[in-house]
Amino acid sequence: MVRQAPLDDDRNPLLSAYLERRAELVRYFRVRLRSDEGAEDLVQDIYLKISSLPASDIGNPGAYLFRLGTNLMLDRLKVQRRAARRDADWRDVHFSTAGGQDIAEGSAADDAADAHQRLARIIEVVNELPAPAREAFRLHKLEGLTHAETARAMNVSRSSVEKYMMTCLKRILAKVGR
Amino acid sequence: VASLGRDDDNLTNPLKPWMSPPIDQKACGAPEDEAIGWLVRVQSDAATAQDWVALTAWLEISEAHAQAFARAEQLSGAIVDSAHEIAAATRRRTPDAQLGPPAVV
Repeated sequence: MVRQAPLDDDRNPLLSAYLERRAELVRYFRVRLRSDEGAEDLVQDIYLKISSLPASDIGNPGAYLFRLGTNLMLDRLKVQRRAARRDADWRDVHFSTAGGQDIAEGSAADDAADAHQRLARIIEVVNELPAPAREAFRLHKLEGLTHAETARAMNVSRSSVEKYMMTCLKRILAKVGR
Repeated sequence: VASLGRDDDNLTNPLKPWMSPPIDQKACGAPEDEAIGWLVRVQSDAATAQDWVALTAWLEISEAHAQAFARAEQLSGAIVDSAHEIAAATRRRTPDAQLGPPAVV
């Protein structure tokens, strides 16, 4: 059992934001995960994560919690997807060749081929982007600057950066498809 | 008197200006485009919990919205995961043309 009280929320803005936003977090992750139970689990994990962090001043603790939960969710989905693919490959190999060694190799090769093709398409689109959009993409997505930092570096407004990012993602999504 | 009714409005009319899809109004209609607008909005360092709540309401509207958002988010994650490779493959293409024509005297 995880003990949720007492929370020292006066001194920890993240914990106080958690208390304030808990229901909103559950509602968000419910629609993302299509599961009440999954959402409750994930929001509990957010709590565990922030309880282990030292109290610090985070610019926008409410938004931070949603972002933290998103990262936990995506990590979990990656693991699940990998496991599902392994299972599928195992069945394929088991019923077709029964060759034990091929299991891991087949799965890794498929993953690599998919990833390689997707990467090639992304690179193609990025190279065709108009210069300002490509620069915004490079600074934000590749260098990891925030929108505000990207805007400062390019000497444009943050809303311009956000328009550039929308252009980039739309084009990449159209090309990568699926 | 109307301004005193704001709290009631908050309860009865959940559609606030910050709840409308962001920036690109031409995007309206295609869930894929709207999803990208929402993704960029919540990935902004200016994003607030209100933005996430507004996104929740948009996601709850339809399965198509939820799927489009998941796909955009996954793509964005794949880009970040491959940032080094993408940077390496696109760096050399930065056109010299941006710097203006070579000085021929």
